Amino acid sequence: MSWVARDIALIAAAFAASVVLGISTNVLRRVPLPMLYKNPEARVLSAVSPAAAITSGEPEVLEYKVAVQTWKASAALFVDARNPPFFEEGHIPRSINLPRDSIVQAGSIAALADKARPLVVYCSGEDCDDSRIVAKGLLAMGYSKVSVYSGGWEEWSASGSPVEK
Amino acid sequence: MRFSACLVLVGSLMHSAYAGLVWETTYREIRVPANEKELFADFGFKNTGTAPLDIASLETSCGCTVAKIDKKQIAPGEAGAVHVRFDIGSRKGEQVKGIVVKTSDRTRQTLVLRVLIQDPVAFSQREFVWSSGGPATPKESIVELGAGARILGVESLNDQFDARLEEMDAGIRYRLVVTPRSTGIPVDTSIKIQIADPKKRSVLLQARIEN
Repeated sequence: MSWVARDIALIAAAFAASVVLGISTNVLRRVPLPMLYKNPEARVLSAVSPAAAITSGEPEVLEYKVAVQTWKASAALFVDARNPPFFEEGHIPRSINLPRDSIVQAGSIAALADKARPLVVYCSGEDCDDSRIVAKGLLAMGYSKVSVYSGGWEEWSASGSPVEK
Repeated sequence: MRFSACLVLVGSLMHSAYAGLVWETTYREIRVPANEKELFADFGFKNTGTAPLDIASLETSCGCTVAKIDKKQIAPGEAGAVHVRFDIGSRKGEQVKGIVVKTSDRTRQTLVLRVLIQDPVAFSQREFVWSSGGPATPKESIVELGAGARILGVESLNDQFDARLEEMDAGIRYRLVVTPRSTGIPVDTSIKIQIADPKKRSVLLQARIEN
């Protein structure tokens, strides 16, 4: 074996060893990193249902005036898709917190026991995609009346509408 | 007097022992051109206490913002940074994102990243203020639209205000006129302008009647 072939074999062996070491370390993590990258929407949908990406439809989008009328009439449960510290700092009164990465726990939340109950999902604002992702996840989980309030917390709090802390 | 001085001294010593993380800044404002796709910002800190501190959690206000630290445990005297990546994508105008950092000493710090993305839509006024009980006179803001931008609609988020657009230079310049129906009751709300450039988005301008 020439020295070139020997060096290539050595590099290949070192590479294989580093891959094995990386995978072993990952397996030992409390929450292993995914082997293949999935965008947040794909991650949420595959967590709730393997077929969700195909079966889940797009939720209806509500503008501010419709959202505020719905809230005043208590015609839907508002679902805040932001992370808990932001929910704690202020949220739409009577809403519940269901962050994107906790969606699989939706079934254990008493307020979400009735899958026919109308739900309005919001997040930090129009530029935040989490409300749409959570809404799609809920649709995939069998909730039948899920819509998104696109203006979200930014618009609601700027409108002077009631807030709860 | 001596007792008070002792209290201050003891208080200061206790504070230095448990001072925890001291931040270089908790607010960063960054301007970026419209064509940028992502932005990186660091929030530097130092553990000025006498005990090691763990970063217990890092949470962001939006999935578009990711925050990371190099290591979880910060030794006394050690400095570090929270590295933030903000996905600009097609976002424009002002973006304010929060990052909540919780540490093992049970403190919680909110870091604020304000990103000003070059906006093809400019307003001469972003705030309309009236005095309670004063005249309900109309106030205006000149809206200038850059290439590819158009206005889809204007509405007040509170019925106490009327908001309308007057065309000055078709497709380029408009006058936004905001008028309170009365100034009797203090109100703090927003005027929402829906824009397409080309993606549909909203801009909120503040309107209020104050005491």
